Amino acid sequence: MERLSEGSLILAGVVLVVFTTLALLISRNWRVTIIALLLQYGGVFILVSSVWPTPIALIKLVAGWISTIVLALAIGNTPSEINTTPESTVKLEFRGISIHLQPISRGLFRFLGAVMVLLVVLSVATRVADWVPGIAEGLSLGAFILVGLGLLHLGLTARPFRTIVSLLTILAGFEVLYAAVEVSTLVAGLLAMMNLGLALVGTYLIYPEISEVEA
Amino acid sequence: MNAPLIWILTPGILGITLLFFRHRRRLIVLMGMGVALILAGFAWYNPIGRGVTLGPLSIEITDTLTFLGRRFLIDAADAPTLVMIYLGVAFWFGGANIARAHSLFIPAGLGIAALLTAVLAVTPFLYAAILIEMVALVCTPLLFRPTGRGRGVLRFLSFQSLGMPFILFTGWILAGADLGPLSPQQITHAGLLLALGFAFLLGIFPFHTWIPMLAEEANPYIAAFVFFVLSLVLSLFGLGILERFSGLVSYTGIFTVLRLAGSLMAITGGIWAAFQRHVGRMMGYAVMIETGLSLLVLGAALESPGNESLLGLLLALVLPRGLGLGVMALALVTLSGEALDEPNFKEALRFRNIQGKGRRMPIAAGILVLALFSLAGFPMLAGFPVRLVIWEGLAANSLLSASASFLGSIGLFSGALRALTVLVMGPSEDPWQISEAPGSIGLLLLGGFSLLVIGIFPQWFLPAFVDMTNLFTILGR
Repeated sequence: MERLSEGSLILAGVVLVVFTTLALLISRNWRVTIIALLLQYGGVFILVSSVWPTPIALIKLVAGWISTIVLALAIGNTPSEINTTPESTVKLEFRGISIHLQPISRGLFRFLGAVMVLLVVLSVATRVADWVPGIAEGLSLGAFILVGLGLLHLGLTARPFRTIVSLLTILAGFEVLYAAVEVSTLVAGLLAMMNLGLALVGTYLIYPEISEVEA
Repeated sequence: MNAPLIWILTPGILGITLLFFRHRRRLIVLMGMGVALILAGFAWYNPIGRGVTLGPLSIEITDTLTFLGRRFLIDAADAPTLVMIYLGVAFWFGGANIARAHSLFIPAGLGIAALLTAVLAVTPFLYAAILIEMVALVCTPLLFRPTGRGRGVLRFLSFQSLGMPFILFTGWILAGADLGPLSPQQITHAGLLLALGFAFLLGIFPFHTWIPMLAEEANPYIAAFVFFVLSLVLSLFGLGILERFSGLVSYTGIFTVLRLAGSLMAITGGIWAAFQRHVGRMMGYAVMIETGLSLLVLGAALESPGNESLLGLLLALVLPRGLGLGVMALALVTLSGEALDEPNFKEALRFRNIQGKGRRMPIAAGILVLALFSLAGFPMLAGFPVRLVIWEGLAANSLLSASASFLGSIGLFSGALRALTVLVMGPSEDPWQISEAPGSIGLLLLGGFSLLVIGIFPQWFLPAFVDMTNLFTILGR
């Protein structure tokens, strides 16, 4: 019964991670990105709490959420020219209300790319036990989904905000994998500091974009 | 009192303190240099394990600091490394004002030195990976120019962040060695992960793209500082891992991997440098050639353990590399002039924009070419004596490695000749004049003179670096 509930918990975490990383990859709206990142850390917390005591696993959740909020504050204060990519959106106007829509080909391309990465992850995740003995298959699956889709996201972007988000995703995947092999409060704390550091550096990199647009 | 408190916490805290005075540029340059020189001098005096007597006061300096259950260990044998790190940092701080470095350069530079010392001191070593990532995070604001797009900086940050997990996992696998002997499979895994981690961190082929990008878009002086300090400490860190886990050295594939990666780095760097039309990027390719050469030397040194002189030469490369990069970066900053603060700074160092600048800034142009020649290993300059012995040693081991390294140098030399031609090219009626600032002239001439002195009298400087082989009792045997 206990194993079943642990298995369901891991499955829930993996499902949450799949949907949120897909949302991060496909959406260009910063609000969707921020919400997906917040939920993604929820998935990471679920996965990590299957191998770590809940109080230590909470470090991942709290650090992730703080990093996301820091990024949200930075990107939320930027002009809309930075949050969207005008050259790649279609503007629709109706009775004074304008909506920016993405060309469907862009989203489709990213989705298909994500499907290919997910197929690779499915074949790789089962072999992780050779490298990390005793790791639950679901845990390695969740970790590799984060790393794989994070890498795809990183490869498709050149903007500071998106780069930092994809790096946070990759590191979250690594942290899930590493949690399976090492339970150390100090490592957890240092990795949390790194997440926060990345978010802070991200705000520094995002701000010059503002001045550039305002000028 | 303990050594980590002096060489890690003190510069770290002083770096944070100097943040509050960052707008008083002259003051913080003097203070930063002073602190770095004092720390280097103190390391030279080497009181670790002995103690210091100040009048009636007698302070014993122990070698260990325990923090949250982890140990930071700096013993007497590490003193030469500390001297090298803090003298290097003082050297770079010296030119900060003239190079118009970022106002955070001195405070962050002290922080970087402290973190990098911690990288070498922390036990177990897996924590070093996280400290290296912190160094990358501190470097990012320094390298990022608000007026630029920052793609190179983003790539630098991405690759440094991607390297960290590999080192952490290597640390986890190798930690098993304390409990019992590792299986061949575990050694293979650890070797692969370590190689990938260092490939990301050091920018080894094919993860080298951030090096020329960063050299093109960041302030050349800060970029050169980051290239120098990171490569120095990561090399020592890597040697430390190989020294401690000699099983990795016996993993025979590592020689071939190092030789292949080194050859590719040297050859690609040389080819790109030869056809390059941007002198900033040329510095990036010079760094690639240097990294390639270091990998080739390391591969050869590990392949023939009795040949400890090769390992010494790897450490001896540090001085000509640091001096060459520093002098070249200073010359690049001088040549770029006011364009350094403009959005299109990347364009300022293209051949079409520096054409004929040698007539208006002959000292900067001359020293730039001299530094490039030195990095290429031209006779009578700082890079030559070490390279000559390395080429001899490499040729005895593998003719292919020696040829790859030599080709890299030829490529860089060709690039330097093309730069020289472009710099002096111009209408014949253009008069020759010296228009560099007096401070720049002084530092550039001092740098050029040092390149010559080290090249002509290497015996005065290089033995101290070669002697550092004693740090590695197993590898250097």
